[in-house]
Amino acid sequence: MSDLDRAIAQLRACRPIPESDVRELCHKAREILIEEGNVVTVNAPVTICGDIHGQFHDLMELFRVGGDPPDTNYLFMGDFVDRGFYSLETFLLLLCLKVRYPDRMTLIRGNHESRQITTVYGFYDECYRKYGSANVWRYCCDVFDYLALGAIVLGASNTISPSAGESSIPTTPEGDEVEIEVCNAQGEVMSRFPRPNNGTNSDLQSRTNGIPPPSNTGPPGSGASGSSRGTVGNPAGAVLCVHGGLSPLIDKVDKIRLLDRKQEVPHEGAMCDLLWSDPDEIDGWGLSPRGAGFLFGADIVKVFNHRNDLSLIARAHQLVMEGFKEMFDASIVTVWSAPNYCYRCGNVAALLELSEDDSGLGVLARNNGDVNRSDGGGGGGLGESEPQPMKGPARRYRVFQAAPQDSRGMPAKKPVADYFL
Amino acid sequence: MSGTAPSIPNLLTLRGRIGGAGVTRGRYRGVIHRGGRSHGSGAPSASAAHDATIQGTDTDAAVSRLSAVQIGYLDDPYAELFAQSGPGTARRLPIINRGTHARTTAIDKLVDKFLDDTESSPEGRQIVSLGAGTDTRSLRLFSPSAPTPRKRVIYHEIDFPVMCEKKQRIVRGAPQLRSILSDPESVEELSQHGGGNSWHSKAVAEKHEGSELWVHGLDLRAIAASQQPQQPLPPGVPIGSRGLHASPSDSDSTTQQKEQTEATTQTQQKEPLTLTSLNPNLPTLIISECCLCYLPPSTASSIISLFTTTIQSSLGIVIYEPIKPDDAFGKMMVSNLAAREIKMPTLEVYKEAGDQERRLREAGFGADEGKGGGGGARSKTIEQIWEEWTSQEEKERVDALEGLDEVEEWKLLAGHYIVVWGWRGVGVDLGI
Repeated sequence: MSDLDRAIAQLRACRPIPESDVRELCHKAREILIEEGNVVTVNAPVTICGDIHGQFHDLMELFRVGGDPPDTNYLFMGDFVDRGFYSLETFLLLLCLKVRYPDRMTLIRGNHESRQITTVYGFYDECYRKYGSANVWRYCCDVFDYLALGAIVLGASNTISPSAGESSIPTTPEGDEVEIEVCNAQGEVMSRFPRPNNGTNSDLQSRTNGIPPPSNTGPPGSGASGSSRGTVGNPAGAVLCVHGGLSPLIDKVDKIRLLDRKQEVPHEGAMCDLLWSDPDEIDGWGLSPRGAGFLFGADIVKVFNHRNDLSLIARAHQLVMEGFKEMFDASIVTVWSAPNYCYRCGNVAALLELSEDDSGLGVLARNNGDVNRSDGGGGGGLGESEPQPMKGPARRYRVFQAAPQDSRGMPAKKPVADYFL
Repeated sequence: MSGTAPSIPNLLTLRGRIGGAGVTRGRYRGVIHRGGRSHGSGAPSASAAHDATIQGTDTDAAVSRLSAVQIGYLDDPYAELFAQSGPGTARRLPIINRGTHARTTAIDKLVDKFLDDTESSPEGRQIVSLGAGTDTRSLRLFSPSAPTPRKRVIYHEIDFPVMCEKKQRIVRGAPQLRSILSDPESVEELSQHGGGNSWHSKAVAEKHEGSELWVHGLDLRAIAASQQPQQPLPPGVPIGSRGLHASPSDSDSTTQQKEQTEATTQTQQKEPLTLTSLNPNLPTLIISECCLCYLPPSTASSIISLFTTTIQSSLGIVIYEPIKPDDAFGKMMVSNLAAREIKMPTLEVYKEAGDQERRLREAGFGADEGKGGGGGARSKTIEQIWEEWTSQEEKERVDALEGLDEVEEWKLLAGHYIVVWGWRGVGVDLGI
C-alpha cells in the first residue's frame, strides 16, 4: 500500500494525517493542479457536486449515493471547507483523491477556498485547533490558489442512461424521452420529466407543478433533436461548471482561460465574480447582497450560453432546500451537496449525473483546458441576435439527506448550531 | 440583446469592498465554550437541570452580544462584563452577529418610542424586562453617555434568583458602573413565592434623574402559580402603596411546586405576589426577549395577564422569539434545540406571525383596532427588521465589518425569529 493509499484510508476514517504528510500532499497536488488550465475539460460521464463545507460524514454519504471514487468520475464545484466541523479531513481527502486519480477527480475553486474567508468561517480555526499551528492552513491555502476556476464537460448524452438494474433507456409513462430524472438516495426513481418540444424547456418547477409539457421532440434537424448543431463530440452541448456564476467582464469562456488565477481570490474583477455571483430573476446585471460578485438574469445566461455553445451552466454557491434548482428554461442549475447545511438548515442535498453519449462522438482525451471551444460551434449558422437554447444533456439528480447522527462520532449533546436564545 | 458583448455596467464603482476588517481578529482563539451549565450542578431533578439549561441560554445570549460588540455591530461597553468568556474570545458567525444587531436595535427602537411617548408622564414610567438575565439594556439606557436623557424611568428586571445574584455581583464589582448605577442594595421580597436575591440601584447621572433599576429574583412560573388558574384577575386587585399585588392566591409555592406549576391545585392561603416598587398606575412596557417562549403557553399567558389586569395605565409589550416550527428549517431548529434540552413550548402554539399578533390582541392589545379602538398589535420578522428598519447607511456600515456570505441561510434564520409588539391606553402609540 502506498503512502497515498494509507493517507486516503486514514482520512476516510475521518482522522487527520500528520502535518508533514499534509505538506507533502499539498506539494504534489500543486504540481498536478499547475498543469491544469483555468477551465478544465472533463468528459462525461461525470457526477457534478456542489458545496460540501466540511460536512465530512455527508461527503461519505455522497460517495455512497453517487458511487465511490475512482469508479465514479467526480467534479466538485468548490466550497470544500468552512462551516462544518471537518473541513480539514474533507479537503485533504478530496485532495488525496485528486492526487491519486487526477483524471477521475476534478476540483474547482469556490469562494471559501480563500485565506480571508477561511479566517472568518472556520477552516483557519479548525486547522489551528487540530495542529496547534497555522501551518496546515497555509499549505492548504497555497493549494487553493492553484485550483481551476471552472470546467467544461464534453460528451454528455442527451438521453438518460439506464439506472442500475434497468435494461433500456427510461421513458416516461407517456413514452417520451426523459430529460430529467430525480432519484432518492436508494436509487429509486422519484420523478421523471420528459423533454419538451422545440428545445424550449419550461423550468422544472412549472413541470413539477403539474403543467403538462409538450409531448414530443422535434424531427431530426429541426433543432430539437440536438444533432443539428453543436461541437463535434457534444451532441448535447457543453456544460460549463463554475462555483458562483458569470461575470460582466467575461463574455467568452476563453476569457476565463486568460486570467491569472494563481492568487488569493480578489475582492473584485472577473475571477472574484466567477466565484461569487448568483443568478436571479432580474434583467441584466445587479448588485449582489453578498458584497462581492453580481446578480445576473436569464437574458445574460441565454446570451452567454449561445455565444459559447453551452447548453447548461452548472454552479453551486447557493443553498437550495431541495438540493438542486434549475432556472431560466433549464439554462442554469444550482447544485447543492451539503445536506442539513451547518447542521441547521434542514435541507436535502443533490448531485448531478451526466451520462456519456454513446453515439461514438463523445470520446475526447482529457486535455487540461486548451480545447478551443470557440471554433467548434460557429457552423450552426445562427445569428447571435437570436439565441436559441440548445438541447441540453439529460440530467439525473440524486437527492440525499444528511448522514445519520450516530455516524458522525459527535457527542450527542454537543451544541450543533447557533440560534438566537 | 445585441450581438455585441453584454455592456459592462459600471457597478464596480458602487460596490464596497468585502471584508477588510475581520481578518486579523480572533485568530488565536480556542474553542468557544457555550452555554454555561454550572447553575444546575448538584441539582438532582430533571426540572432543575432544565432550569439550568434555560439559564444557560443567557450565557449564550451574552456571548452573542459580546461577539457583536467586539466586531463593531453594536456599541455596548458593558457587554464584556457579563460574558463569561474574556475579551477577544467571543466570536459568532456573521449571520448571528447581524441577527443580534437586528434584534437589539429593534427592541431599542420600540423602547425608545415608549419612553418618548411617556416623557411627560408626571410620576414616571416603567419597563419590566422578563428573564432579563445579564441583559445590558438598562445600563445603556442609564449611561451618562446615553444619547437621550431618561428621567423617572423605573426599570424592572425579573429572572431566577441565581441570575439576579450573579448580576448583582457583577454590577457591584465593576467600578466603571458607578457612574451609571449606585451601589446595589439588597431587597427583601418574594420569599413567600420562592424568590430572593432581589436588589436595586439608582441611576446616578443627573440627566437620568429619578430613574431606578429594580432586579427581582423570581421564577416567573410563580406568577402563574399565584393566579387563579383559568381565571383572569378582576379589576381592582389589591395593590399596595408602593407595590403591585397579584391576585390573592390559594396555591402554595414550594420548590416542589415550582416544578409543576401548571398542576398547582393546593389551596393554602399565602401572600399576594408583590414586586417591590412596581406601580400599577404608571405607563408600563413589558419586554420578553426569548423568555416567555421557554414556558408552557398557559403560564406565558398568565404572566401577560398579570400585567394586563393590574396595570391601570397605558401598557405596551414587546416579545422576541422564534416562529415557524413546521418547515424544514423550523423542524431542524426544534430538534437541535431539543438536543440541547431547550424546549420552547409556546412555539407550538404561536407558529406564525399572525398567531403572535392574535395572541396580543386576545390579551387586550388593540383588540378593537380598526373599529375605533385604541392600541394595536404588530410584528416583523428579524429579516424584515433588517430590510425595513435598518437604514441604508447602517446596513453598509454593518456589512463592511465582515463579509456576509450566508445570504440564503440568513433569510432562513432571520425569517424564523419575530418581534411582535402591542400597546393599549392613552399616550402610547407603538404603531411604527
